[in-house]
Amino acid sequence: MGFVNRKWLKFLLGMSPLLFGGLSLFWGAYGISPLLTAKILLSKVFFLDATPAPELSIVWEIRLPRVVLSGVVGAALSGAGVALQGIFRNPLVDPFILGLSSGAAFGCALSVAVFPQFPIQVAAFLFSLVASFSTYMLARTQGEVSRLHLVLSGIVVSAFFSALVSILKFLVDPHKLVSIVYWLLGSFSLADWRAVGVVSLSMLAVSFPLILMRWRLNALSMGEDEARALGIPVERDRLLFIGAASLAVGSAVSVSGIIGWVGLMVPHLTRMLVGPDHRVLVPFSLAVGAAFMIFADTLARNLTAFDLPVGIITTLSGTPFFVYLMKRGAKESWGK
Amino acid sequence: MAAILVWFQLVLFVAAGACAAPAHALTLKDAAGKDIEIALPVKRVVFLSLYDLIPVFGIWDRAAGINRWAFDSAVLKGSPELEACPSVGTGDSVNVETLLSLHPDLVITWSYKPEVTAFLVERGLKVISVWPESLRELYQVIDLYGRIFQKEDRAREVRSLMENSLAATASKVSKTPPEKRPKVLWIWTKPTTVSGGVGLQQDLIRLIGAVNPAEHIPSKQADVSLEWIVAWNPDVIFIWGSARYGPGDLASNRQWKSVGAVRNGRVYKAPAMSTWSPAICTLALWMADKAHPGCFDRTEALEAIREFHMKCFGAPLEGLALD
Repeated sequence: MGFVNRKWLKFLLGMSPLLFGGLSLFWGAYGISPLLTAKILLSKVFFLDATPAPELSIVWEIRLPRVVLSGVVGAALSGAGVALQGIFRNPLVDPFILGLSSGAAFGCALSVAVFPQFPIQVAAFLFSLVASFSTYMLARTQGEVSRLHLVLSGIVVSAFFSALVSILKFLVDPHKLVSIVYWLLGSFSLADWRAVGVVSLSMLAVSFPLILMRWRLNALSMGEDEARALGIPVERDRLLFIGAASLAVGSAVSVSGIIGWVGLMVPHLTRMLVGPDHRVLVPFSLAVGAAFMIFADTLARNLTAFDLPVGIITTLSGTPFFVYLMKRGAKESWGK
Repeated sequence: MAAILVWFQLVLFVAAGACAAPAHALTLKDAAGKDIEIALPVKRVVFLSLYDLIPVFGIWDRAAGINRWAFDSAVLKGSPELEACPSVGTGDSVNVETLLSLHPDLVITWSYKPEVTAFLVERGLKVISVWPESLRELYQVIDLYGRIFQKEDRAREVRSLMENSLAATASKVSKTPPEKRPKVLWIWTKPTTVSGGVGLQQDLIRLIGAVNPAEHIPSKQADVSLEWIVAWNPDVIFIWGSARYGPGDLASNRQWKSVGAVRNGRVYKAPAMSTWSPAICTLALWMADKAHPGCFDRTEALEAIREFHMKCFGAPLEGLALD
């Protein structure tokens, strides 16, 4: 690919969240003309108030927070995915490898089944972090925290929390079971500005170290011995990236439920487009993750009269993508 | 799948009606369309579904086992007969050993899991599966109970009580001209999960002289975009009685502020009562009163509800207020 073309590609990838977000704002169940949508956005930005109530409410209170939230969650999952794939040196790692999704699912089930006064979002967030922390501590019982121990601990912790979720699903009445199942499918149907605020804050706290230290991912992805030879404190940096990824994914999952494939697929896609250098890969993965999630959620709310769980769309689109990836050869995309 | 269930229910009900029962046997069709003959009188029954009808027919003495969710039923909770009745699990997950140890003559379960029915039939049990999805089908189930328990007179009486109660509710609201009928939305587990054009909720909304703006959706429940709800702009919203949220949650959410029902404070949480029993008449009256304010004399309506409940369930109704 020529230099100019590559520049244009990077420009397009960087702008993709704005592009998809802008288009998504004009497409919804309630027919609002693009002109009126633009007018509403401008009136809110410039503190004017000259638009009718239902349209204003739909664009500003329903569509925009949903677009922003899906973008932030997509960026969180993708960013966490690229960081974890880098430190684990494994292209099949996704953000849920540390047991985050099972922990969050248990938090949700516990809130629905036993503590209805405790918000699902808070419980899901807390237990996703508990699961991640447990994985790390379990890996440490062998002394040094190696990649293999972390992956195995993640599997153990995931299985443990999955079993607890199964017990609760078995014990709750069918009506409560529906709540748990809906939540596990992942959706932005109840997105509002409060949720945007919560996730954006934790994303800000996580993105800065991820972006500022992204070059260290290059060293970590070469292998532990090589990284140490370069003077990288491997265990400390790994803990930092895992902590950041857990915080980002935990807060994302708490507001959207479990949305699979994004953290696995988007880093691969971006790696194919911009190469394996994490200095470039990390920021573009964040952008492409946001754009992809906005696109998937726009389809989820517009394809049918129903509001489909977005997790279904991401999984349906992820499967053929991986078939394509396998045919093309994963090594090529991993940069080896 | 829904079509299969409806087909099966029709087969079941038609068969129940068409096959004249000999003096000591009743012939019905099972889930596979096979004839099953039930020896009468039925003395030991395990109720995995429609257990709220036990007090209606006064058949506690025949209840050999019961679904464990019956212990949460608003109608049955606290009754001494229930406490003495062993639980056999749920319609989805039956403890087969417990069930077999009870030696039932008959098991009544849901029809949405045909594999459970088939499994029980293979173990030599007589099983009837039901899943009423409309008022008409609920009446058919009541008739079926009358035949199975040889209490046809009681079935006719209960059906008549229900029909009269629903007719009285409908006649009160019938004066509302079609163009002034309120748009009523019923929402479920999530505020964006709505009742579509199929099912008991749809029947109830029609019966109370209202219009369901989601009736074009051909399913009992559907997750829709909040934009649809804003576009429909319902006049009244009923929240399912067991939902985790209430009217206050919608009122305090800015996303809902342009919805007429929320703006005008006409969002109500329904009493948590089963719609698979005569209690559906109580719910209908409660909904009609909320959808047509001023149409009912509340003292009179509450008295009618209490009387109806006592006649149907043989116990006083507690904890329901119309204001």
